[in-house]
Amino acid sequence: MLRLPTVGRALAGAAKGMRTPVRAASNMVEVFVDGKPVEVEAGTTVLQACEKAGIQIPRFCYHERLSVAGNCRMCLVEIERAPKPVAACAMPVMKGWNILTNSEKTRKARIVIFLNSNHHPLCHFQDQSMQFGSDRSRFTEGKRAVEDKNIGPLIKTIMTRCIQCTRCVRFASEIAGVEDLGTTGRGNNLQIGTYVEKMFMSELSGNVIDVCPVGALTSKPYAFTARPWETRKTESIDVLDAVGSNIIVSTRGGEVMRVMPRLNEDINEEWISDKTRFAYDGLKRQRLTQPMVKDESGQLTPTTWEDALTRVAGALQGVQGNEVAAIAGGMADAESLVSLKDLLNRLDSESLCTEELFPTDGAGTDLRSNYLLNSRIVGIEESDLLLLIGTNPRYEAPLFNARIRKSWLHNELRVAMVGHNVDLSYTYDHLGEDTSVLKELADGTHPFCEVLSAAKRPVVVVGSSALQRDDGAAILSTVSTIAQNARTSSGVEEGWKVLNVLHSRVASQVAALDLGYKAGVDAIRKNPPKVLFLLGADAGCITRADLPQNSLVIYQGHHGDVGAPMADIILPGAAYTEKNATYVNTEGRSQHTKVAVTAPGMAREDWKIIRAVSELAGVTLPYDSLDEVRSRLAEVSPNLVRYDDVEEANFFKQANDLAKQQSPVWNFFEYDNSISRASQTMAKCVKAVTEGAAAVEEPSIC
Amino acid sequence: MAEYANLVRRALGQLRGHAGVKGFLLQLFRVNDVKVGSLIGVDKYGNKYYEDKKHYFFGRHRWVIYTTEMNGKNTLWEVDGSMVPAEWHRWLHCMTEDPPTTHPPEPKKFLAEVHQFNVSGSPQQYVPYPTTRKKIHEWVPPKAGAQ
Repeated sequence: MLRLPTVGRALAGAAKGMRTPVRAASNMVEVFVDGKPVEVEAGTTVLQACEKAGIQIPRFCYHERLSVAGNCRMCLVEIERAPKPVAACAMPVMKGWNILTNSEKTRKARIVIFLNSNHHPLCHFQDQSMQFGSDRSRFTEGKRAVEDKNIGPLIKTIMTRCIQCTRCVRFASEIAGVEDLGTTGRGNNLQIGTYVEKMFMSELSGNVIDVCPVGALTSKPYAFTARPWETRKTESIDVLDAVGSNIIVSTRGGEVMRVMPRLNEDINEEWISDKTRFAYDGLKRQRLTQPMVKDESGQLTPTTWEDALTRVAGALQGVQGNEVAAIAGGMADAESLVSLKDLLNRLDSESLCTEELFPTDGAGTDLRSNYLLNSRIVGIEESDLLLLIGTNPRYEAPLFNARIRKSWLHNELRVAMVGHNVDLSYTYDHLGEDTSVLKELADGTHPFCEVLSAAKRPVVVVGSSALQRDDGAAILSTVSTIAQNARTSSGVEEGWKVLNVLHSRVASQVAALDLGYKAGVDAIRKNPPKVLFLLGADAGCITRADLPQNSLVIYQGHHGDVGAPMADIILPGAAYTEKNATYVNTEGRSQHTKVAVTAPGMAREDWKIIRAVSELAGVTLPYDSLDEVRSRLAEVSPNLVRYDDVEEANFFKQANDLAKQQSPVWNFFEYDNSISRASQTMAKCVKAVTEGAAAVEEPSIC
Repeated sequence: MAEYANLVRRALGQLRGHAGVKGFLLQLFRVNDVKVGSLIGVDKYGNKYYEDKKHYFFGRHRWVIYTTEMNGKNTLWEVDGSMVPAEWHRWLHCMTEDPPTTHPPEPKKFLAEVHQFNVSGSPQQYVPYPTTRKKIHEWVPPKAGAQ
């Protein structure tokens, strides 16, 4: 595929060689767009130069983040004194060119033949035909129709609408890394598909829907459910994994219709993973809508808020100190975390834990740099060597993996991995599967150490699932030794961070650690409490068997999953689309969600429930409104209210220990939180992956 | 003089037709009309159907005297036009000349065994309900002791 920067540079170099030498200070080239002078860098294309001048040239196959194909011929523009019109998306500008975007020849070259009449409402093809196409038909040949391909339960294909722009092919091969889509046939008979009836198995497959300019690839779960003009869009953040991708939640009539990506260059560019995009139907099933209490027979029955809250308050009044404990689940927001901590601290308890373990030896969770993705997701683009330890970023943080692949593809990033030999959509050096490899790397005895020390900007990423094991502390210390060695030998500048921790599936972990929660439920296992407060805790770390006989379990969450059947009192809370909440992603970037729909039934926002409990229990928390909670958050940890910004963390320390042997296991990434487990679309995905695309029954419409 | 004799004859005919003064008064207060005619038939609920083509013009020549109790409701005073069953309704509204006594109706699947009169305003009235699917499916807690 044409790699624009290299070709552009070569051509620009050749062009410059023919003319007078350019001033050394800048390499800006002056071109004229419709007579207007514009200064652009050498190597930019005609299309980009016109955009800088403010004129948008119509195009179908060009996409900023994909390589240039130049096969749609819609962007043809006339250059003055050039014999033929040029494809604006592919031709780099030369000095002194006058680009005529609206001349006679340009308009004649811009042929849009509107062969199809059934285009979907978001169709760019339809828009451009209306703008640039002819008003009458001059079509004398026969029309063509193309068979629809089955590429999975998520993407609906109507291949007759396909204009063969090959954007999806380029996306699949470059950004997703799965070379499943391709073209078959030539000329009029060109068809895009997998040819062998394969499923398009990539965790970023849903982005192909955004990339397709016509309605050939659309979203299967969203098909025919809503029209875009009916929906209200709310900007929000995704919490189904720890990356914190920016999303737009489209709602209509109080229910979520679809989730689309929002542009954020630092985190997710303009892609989102399949789980983020399609798991929204899990928000409508298995919801907790009423407070419930267990009656004498042990059956959970719905009740009123007064009843449930007075029971909780009564239980809390009867306990002191470590007899009351709390576990924070994967999707708990910072506001509810801080209110729960304040409540329990007022009752003299310090046993607040997160479900995910994090080694507490050495620096543990006291220093932020120890548990964050310090180099940031953008920082991967600047590095030249990446060492992944015990993590499968493809399924744990798909957008992080997309960024790694982007750097691997364009910036010559070399990747090495210690862990299971998995398909990461890019090639990497597989160093081994045991922790002995880590030891050797730290000691300098492994052959890869030379490469590590020769790297100019190394990055070491250890996955949080590797730290969940018994020897997690040893692993972390070994890894920080490796990072420290790599840093000193590379001679990189002060601001560059080498050691990173990638939190895999838990969006609340960083916020909880920032606020002072203990990582891992060992503290609770050692002192089993009489009252246990589960804040959306669905990983099943603590079961009834671990608790004393007559303990009281209170579950506050939004789905009836693992924690709710165990509980004695259920308080229904709000999911992430239903509250204004703050979440901190794995880089330490604090972002906030906004209310897209109201919580169903009697459910309320989580921090409000805790505030009400505190008032009834007699230890009223000092905040009444969201702003006051946020100022409390700022008191505890100021970075939590500095939205969309990453605070630099410092102080890299280490301890030394030795390791045992075990291997990380990854489950289906579709199933790792309560919303995805409740989603039927995700279940279809799992079935399609295990049994093949044909195994998923779809009702056929049209 | 002859008119008064006619009048008296008619009055006596009506008294005789309604079984005496008591019946006459009951009819007068119930139906507000004391005309008499030939009894064509009685339906299974007790409504009586009369016709008199000679003395009354089209539109007033067929009438029904409702029963006193139908489907558990006391209809002595609260009569309702919907109490007339389908086959008699056809004759009563002059859609046909043949009453169901001479021409019984074809049995149809949709005809109910027991004709229901209009129940608007009563507890059995129809209240519209939504037929769309639920937006949010609540979690159903597991049955206690089922583990």
